[in-house]
Amino acid sequence: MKIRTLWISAVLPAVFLGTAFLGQAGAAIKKVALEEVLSIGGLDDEALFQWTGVASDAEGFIYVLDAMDYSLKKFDPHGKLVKKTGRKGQGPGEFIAPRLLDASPNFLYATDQNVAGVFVFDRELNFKRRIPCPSLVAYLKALGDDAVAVLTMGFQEPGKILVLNGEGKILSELAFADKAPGLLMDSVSFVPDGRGQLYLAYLFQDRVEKWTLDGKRLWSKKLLGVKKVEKKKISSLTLPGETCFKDIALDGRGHIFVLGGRLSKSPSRDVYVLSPGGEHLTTFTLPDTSHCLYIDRDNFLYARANDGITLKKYRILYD
Amino acid sequence: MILRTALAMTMTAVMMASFLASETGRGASSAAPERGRSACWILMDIESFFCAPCLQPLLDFCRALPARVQEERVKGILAYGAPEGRERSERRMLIVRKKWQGFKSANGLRFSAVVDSGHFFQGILTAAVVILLFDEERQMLKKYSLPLRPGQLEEITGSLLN
Repeated sequence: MKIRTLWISAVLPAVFLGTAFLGQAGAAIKKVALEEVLSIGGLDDEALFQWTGVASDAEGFIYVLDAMDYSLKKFDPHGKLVKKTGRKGQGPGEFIAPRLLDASPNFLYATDQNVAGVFVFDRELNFKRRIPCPSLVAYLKALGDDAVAVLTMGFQEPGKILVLNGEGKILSELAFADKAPGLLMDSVSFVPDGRGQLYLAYLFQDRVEKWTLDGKRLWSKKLLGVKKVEKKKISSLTLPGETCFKDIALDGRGHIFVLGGRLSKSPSRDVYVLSPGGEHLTTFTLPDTSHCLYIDRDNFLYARANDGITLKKYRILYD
Repeated sequence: MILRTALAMTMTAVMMASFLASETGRGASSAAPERGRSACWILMDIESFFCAPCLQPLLDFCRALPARVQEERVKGILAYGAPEGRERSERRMLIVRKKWQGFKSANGLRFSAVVDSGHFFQGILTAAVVILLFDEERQMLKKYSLPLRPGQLEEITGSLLN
């Protein structure tokens, strides 16, 4: 695989300071379990209807995008809704299909599945600006108050991870696929490790990989034993039919947590834990299916329950 | 597609009677169209609620209907795939109901909806959203799949606003 890179070495160290530093990197573990510490949204309230993205800040506030009521919501550390913004539309701070969310120390970065660019809000949910982007954003990670990494995909172009500044200027670029392997086949979730490296989990391929930011693939791992994902023809498009992996996150010890997709043993519930070197350490299973896996700076894990009307926060227990 | 045959009408009537019986048992208000007036049922696949483009035709259709018409002559039916197990099915029904509440409120929809917990309508839900129009004047039941074809919106609204 040919790699094209334009990573700017002078920029990267600053850019990736936004990611929490990972102590005790990759300490060996045999087992991981979860202890629920907070649950937001239930069957009888109006807190959440279909949450899609989650992020938290240093003070423990939790921010959630809700696709069903086109909103961005802020909850206090006890799970009480303290503020809500957004409505359906294409004006400033409005959404058509809110999708991804991440936080830097002072800002929230949100995406809309139907709108190119990244919406920036402050922590009081005031809309600040839209960072222009060359195409729709398929995945996103905040890198700091003035930088965000996005996965962009087009019909003709293979997926690329771009680092954008607050004005949308491309600071650097990681092209991890040199040719289009089929529509959506190079879709990935990714997470930077804060040390100049990046982990990728492919949505429609049985591949988890580690890359340097200057474009070198360090390792590639198969976890599911899936040789090829079946494809389906929808209208004139041929698309992958099942997901291998749905999301990826790093815990405070540097372990890689990869959420399995429909093709994992417990679909959308299995979480594969890997060492920074790619060794598969253990697998645990979420209590409910999730599309998203988020680990905050205090090492709490967030996942979905009740098909998106509930957000669960868990303490990670290691053995 | 026009369901003119007596057989189709009978089958639909039986299906709706079964559906109403099951919903009434759950304490829901009747979803039957008011006697003597045209009305429509909107069948919605709750799974499509995550797909904004899939639902836009529904919102466009609703915008063409005055609030009073929505309230009085339109009923929604929320369809979803049957999960395994009674407990899961009950929970799924509550989840579907809650998602609808959020969606309805955020989009300013005025018509109420019931959950097709018996999965009676799965067979005729051939698109993300399907409209069943009970046309009183022409004594006809007609099925439309969204997005509507040219002229169909006028046909439905003409009947409902009559």
